[in-house]
Amino acid sequence: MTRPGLWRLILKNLGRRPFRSAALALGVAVVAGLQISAALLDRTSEQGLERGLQRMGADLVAVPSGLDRDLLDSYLTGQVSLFYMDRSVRDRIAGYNFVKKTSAQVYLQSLARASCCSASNIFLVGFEPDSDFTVQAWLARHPGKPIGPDQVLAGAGLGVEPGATLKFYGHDFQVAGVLDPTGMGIDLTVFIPMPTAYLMARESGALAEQTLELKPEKISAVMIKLKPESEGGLPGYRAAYELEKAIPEVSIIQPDDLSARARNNLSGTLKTLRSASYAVWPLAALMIGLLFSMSVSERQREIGILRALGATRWFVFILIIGEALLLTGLGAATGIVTSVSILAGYSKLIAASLQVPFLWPSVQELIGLSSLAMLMALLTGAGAALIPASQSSRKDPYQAIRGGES
Amino acid sequence: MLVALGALAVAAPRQIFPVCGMGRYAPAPGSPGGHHACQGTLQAETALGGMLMLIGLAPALWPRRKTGLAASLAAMVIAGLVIISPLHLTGLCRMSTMPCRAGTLPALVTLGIIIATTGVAGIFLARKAK
Repeated sequence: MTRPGLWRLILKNLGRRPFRSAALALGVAVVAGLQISAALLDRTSEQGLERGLQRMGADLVAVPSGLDRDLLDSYLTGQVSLFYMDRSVRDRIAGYNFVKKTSAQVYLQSLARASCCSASNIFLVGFEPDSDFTVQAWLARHPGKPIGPDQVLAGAGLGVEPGATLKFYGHDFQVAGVLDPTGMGIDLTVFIPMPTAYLMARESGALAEQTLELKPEKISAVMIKLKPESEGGLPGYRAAYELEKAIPEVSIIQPDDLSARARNNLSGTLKTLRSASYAVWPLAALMIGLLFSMSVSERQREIGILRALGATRWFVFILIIGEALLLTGLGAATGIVTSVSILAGYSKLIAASLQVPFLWPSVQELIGLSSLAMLMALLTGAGAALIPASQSSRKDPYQAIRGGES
Repeated sequence: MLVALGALAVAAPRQIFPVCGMGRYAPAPGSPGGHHACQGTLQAETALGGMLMLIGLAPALWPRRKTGLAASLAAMVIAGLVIISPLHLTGLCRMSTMPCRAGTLPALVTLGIIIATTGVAGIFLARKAK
């Protein structure tokens, strides 16, 4: 008879009680799945926010008083918010010595199911080509590609390619470029040069199914870039306070407001996922420990014979720990793969229902997070099986065989 | 099992994860309806679900090993079509956040995988029953 290999013994022992092994692996799968889901949701929303705030490019955004929440929701979900204020507000903001640059935007919405519009209820943002921060950032990365009057920049979520034609209110636009994805609602935005937006409104009476009411003296928001503090500027919160105090008809949005709103939307879900995993984790560890204690007591005779045949204590110890590691490893792998697949497949639905940004992390980061969840599962498995493994390895072969007979 | 999965393939794009303009995404009464590119997918999935239900009934009507084997093989073909249809044959709306892309597509892919797994299990069981 040849001495059985360690792995063969481990597989055989686990296969002997398939239901018990599967139940244990399933428990670990749930724990690892919850852990990785919480970590990924946290990371994807954080990454989306980072990218979205970069896209915004502004230190502050001024909107008509009390409508700051509406714009935050638009940024996060892509739901259109329409509000207007007088253009003179921009000049008043630009007059403050702590303000470096300003750029106005005007918000519009494409018509629903109208032949004069390529897509229904799209958020159209009229921007000032010479000063807009979003467009300037795009132009910096695409030198020699200026945006013409009848050209637009499209968000990544719209599914259009550069060069495609989009029609809004009967006016044809060519897509000059597609902005990088942020995982936020602003991925569903089309950026139109502001002079063309006003022209489109004037022509809409003749070209569109419904006239677009937009007066040239109206704007929706003012994007504000502040001077650095070293050049006499103010910190963002201070500048926001000063502006709101001096111009009561505006509310000022700071990038932190967007982060806070997304965090608020996500906190309930993260709390639930984390609490569930923290509640299940010790239970899983306890279950593994108990089941391995039972399994070791059942196999006392077998372990005794193994020892009598020449197996070392270390061999028996590794045998038990190996079983625990394999079982928890398989369970964790199942949980991680399932959770990542569900999150990847349903990312848009999750983002829309939780109203949070969702930008998938890099492969390296994903591997890092998965490895961490796997490591925690393996440590739990090994830790829980430590006592039964050490007890069984310390038993005298004769005692173990006799113990197994009783 | 196949009958239940067939019923799911019919119900998923209508009620559970409805395509654009269906179920909870149906336009309000009086508002314009309009055509969505994903309507073809709805029809295709209804047909595939119906076929899967019939296939699932076959082994109950003719309880032979070969019928079970054939039903499982056919289920695997249907599983492939359930996944391929929205992606390449019938199509979906363009925007990634439209209900058909955000909800229906992943649901159909998941369903396709479950049907294929059931098919593989059916083949395994039919071969074991030899």
